[in-house]
Amino acid sequence: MDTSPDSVKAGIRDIFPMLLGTAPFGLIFGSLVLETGLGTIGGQSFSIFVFGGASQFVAVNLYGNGATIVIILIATFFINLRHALYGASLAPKLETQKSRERLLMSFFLTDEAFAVVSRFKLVKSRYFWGAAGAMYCNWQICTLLGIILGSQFEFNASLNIGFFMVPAFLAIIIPQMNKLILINCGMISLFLSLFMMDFPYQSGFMIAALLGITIALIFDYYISKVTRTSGRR
Amino acid sequence: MNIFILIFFMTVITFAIRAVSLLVFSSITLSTLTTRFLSLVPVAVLSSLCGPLIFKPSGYWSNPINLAEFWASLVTVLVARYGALPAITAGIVVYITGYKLGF
Repeated sequence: MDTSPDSVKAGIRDIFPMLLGTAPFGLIFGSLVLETGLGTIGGQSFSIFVFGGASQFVAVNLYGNGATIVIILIATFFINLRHALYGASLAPKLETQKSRERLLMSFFLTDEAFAVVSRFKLVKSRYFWGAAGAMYCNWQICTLLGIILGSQFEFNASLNIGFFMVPAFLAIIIPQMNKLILINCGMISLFLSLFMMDFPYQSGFMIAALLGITIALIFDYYISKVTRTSGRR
Repeated sequence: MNIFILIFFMTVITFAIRAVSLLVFSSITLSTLTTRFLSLVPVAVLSSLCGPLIFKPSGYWSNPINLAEFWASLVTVLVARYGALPAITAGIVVYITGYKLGF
């Protein structure tokens, strides 16, 4: 897909399935906030200002266990490091936006927003704001609901809540995997992540992705070299 | 520890990581190799996020045939050609059904 639609509505429509997937996380985060004694304002402030998903969970857990601020900040840094890849990948696609707008956009660059907008070679502002804005509002509402309703939310522990995001991510990446290099890259990254999932602060995901890309590029280089050589004969 | 100091520094770190890479890569001309590398980031990162949730949902290795997550992902992949919403719906329905059936 070359250019995203220039419409807020299209952005909201495309991220909608992700909103359903992230809603349980927001609710659980809200109820977790009460358990750790952060209070309504403290908990909601986390979602309003940090807007970091996984890093919020880890920070609240560490805070509840009495960790120092330095430890929490180090954890935050490593958990969010993969967002550096998102920013780098998205930068060429936002060439029509001014620096100030890009700066603001980077605040809203979550896994879900990135998954939706990264499908396009050029991303229009309205589309980005529709998708990212809907994600932000959804996260705030779910956090607040979790705080208000608290322990009334009883999720079955054996139900893998994290999995609810997987169909959404797969539905986005599968149509993109239309070239051998993309299939190789996806398969290698997935395979490596299985061995690196226990790395500290979720750093294994980023390392698996970086290695997956590198190996896929090397593989592609040798395939094209062999093709060129056999073509000359 | 003041919670608002923690929130302030977490906001700065999270925002800085996202903003610096976006602004730096916006201001430089990228080589062909870097452009190719970055074009693979979405598939690579999203695949690595999905892997453990599909094949090691409990954190350890188990036969995928016995996992509701595996069947739900397979159905999502097969239905993906018909659009995102049908694929996501089918995946979640299969996962919940599999879970109810005791997978």
